[in-house]
Order: sequence, then C-alpha cells, then structure tokens
Amino acid sequence: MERKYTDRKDLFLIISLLITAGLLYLLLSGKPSSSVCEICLDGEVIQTVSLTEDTTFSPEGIPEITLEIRNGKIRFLSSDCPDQICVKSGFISRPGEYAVCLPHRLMIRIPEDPSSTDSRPDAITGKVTPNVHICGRIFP
Amino acid sequence: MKTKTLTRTALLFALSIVMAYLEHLIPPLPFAPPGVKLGLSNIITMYTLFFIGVPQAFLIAVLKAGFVLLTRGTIASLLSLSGGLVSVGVMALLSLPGRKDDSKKFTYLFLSICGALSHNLGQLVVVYLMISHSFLAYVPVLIISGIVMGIITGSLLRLLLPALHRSFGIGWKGGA
Repeated sequence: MERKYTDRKDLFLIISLLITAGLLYLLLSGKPSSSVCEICLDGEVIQTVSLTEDTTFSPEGIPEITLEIRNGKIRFLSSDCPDQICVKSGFISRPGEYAVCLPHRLMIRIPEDPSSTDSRPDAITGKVTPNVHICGRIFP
Repeated sequence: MKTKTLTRTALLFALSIVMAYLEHLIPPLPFAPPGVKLGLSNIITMYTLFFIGVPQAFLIAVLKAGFVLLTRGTIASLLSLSGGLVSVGVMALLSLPGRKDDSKKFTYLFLSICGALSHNLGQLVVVYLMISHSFLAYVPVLIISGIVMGIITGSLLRLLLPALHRSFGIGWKGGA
C-alpha cells in the first residue's frame, strides 16, 4: 500500500520537462530587443536611428555631441557640456531607457512597445499608468 | 469535520507557516534567479493531501493565502492562493491512480515535482493577468526551478514522513 519514493518513470518526467524548458527557452529568446533609437531635440523627434550597425555620428545640427552605437546599444560618446551627465549615463538598449543632455536640450531614448505599456495597471497601487511620452515631458 | 481531523489540520497549517518562516531564514543562493523559492511549506501541503485528506489540503492552501494577506499584502496573497490551489488540485488528481494496484501509483518524487511546477504555473497565470504580459519569457526558469525544488521538497517529505507520522499518530493502530 506504501507509495514509493521514486522509480524510473520519474526520470522520464524530469528529462521531458528539461527538454520542454529548453525548447521554450529557444523559442522565446529568439525575439530581438528594440532595435531603434529616437533622438529628440526640444521634445521633438528629429531623427530615428537603427541600432543594428556599429557607428559613431553626431546628431543633425549638433556637432558638439557624438553618439556611438555598438552591439545594439547606444550612448553619448562625447559632449562639450560642463557636467557630462549624458556621457556618464552610459549605454542604453532596453525599451524605455533614455539618456539626456540638458544643456543641448537633446535626448536619446529607446521607444517602448506601446502594446506592453498602454493602460497597464500598476501592480502596487492598482492605478492605470498612461503611456507617458518622456520627450514631451522634459522639454515642454 | 471530526475533532481529530480538525486539530490535525490546524497543527499542519501552523507547521506550514513555520516552514515558510524557516525558508525565510535561509539566505538566498547567489545563483538563484529572482522569484524562485524553495517552497518548504509544500512538504506540509503534500503530507496533508496524502494522509489527512484532499479538502483539508485545499483548506490549508486557502488559510496560507489568508496568512500571507495579513502579513505581505494583496498581490502576494493572490499569488499564494493561485499557486496553492493549482498545486493541490494537480497533486490530488495525480494521487488518484493506483488505489488498488500499487505499481500504478505515482511516486512521491513525481507528485512533488508536479506540485512544484503547477505551483509556479498557477502563480504565473496571476502574474500574467494582473501585472505583466512579458513574464512568459520566465517559463523555462520556472520549469527548471520547479524540478529542482520538487526534488528537494519531495526528498525532505520522504525523510520527514516517520517523524510526521509519529507526531500525528498516523499509521498507529491504536488511534490518536
């Protein structure tokens, strides 16, 4: 009447679960992250660049700033602003991340996928978070 | 519910909270992904399910969610409830076969792994509906952790069986 602790069937269960996990991992990890970056001046998107090609460039009309794209990430490589906060922000690559150079009123941001953020309730407060366009908020 | 069953269930519920507290004392492993827990109190849920009864196991899952509601809030409580109910449901179904034929019985390890897995998946459904849709990418991690934690809790249950039986007077012909 006693239930056994383990037998050979359990090994099949474990192996088949491991295979399922592996397959799911392969299936779900194939989705690439966001591959574009918006460059905003005074709150207006002036340029949209692809992050797929490694390059170094200056945004249109602002030769004082250089941006660098490397391995699907983008950063302020150099700027002539005094505090260098934009350069210190480092690389950004995930949707929703941004870096700002306030003296030049310039911002780089990775656009969020609207379907994942629109009117999604906040887990803690239960309130609905509107999809805020950060560009417009910082430079009104 | 008979008084004996009532007191046993109450004691087991207390034990499951103690288990959760014990688990809280263990420092998190550095390589463990976030959100992955040992699930020590699942040992008690399994014991209740196998040796006290299915309704009592469900009762303990609900009571545990109530305790979590008082101590850790609504979301944590909902996660505990969904995980607990799904896990008990799956284990109850899987413990059905083999009432007459011992060789058809699923083993403790099998039930424990399935219980841990379904606990994770039950929680994932709530996370998916309430918090975020991007959690699906976490499924493989939850499957692997379900296997590991299922093996650990199943083995611990097997180790603790004699002590639990002695404490709850089960398997003792004289009755408790």
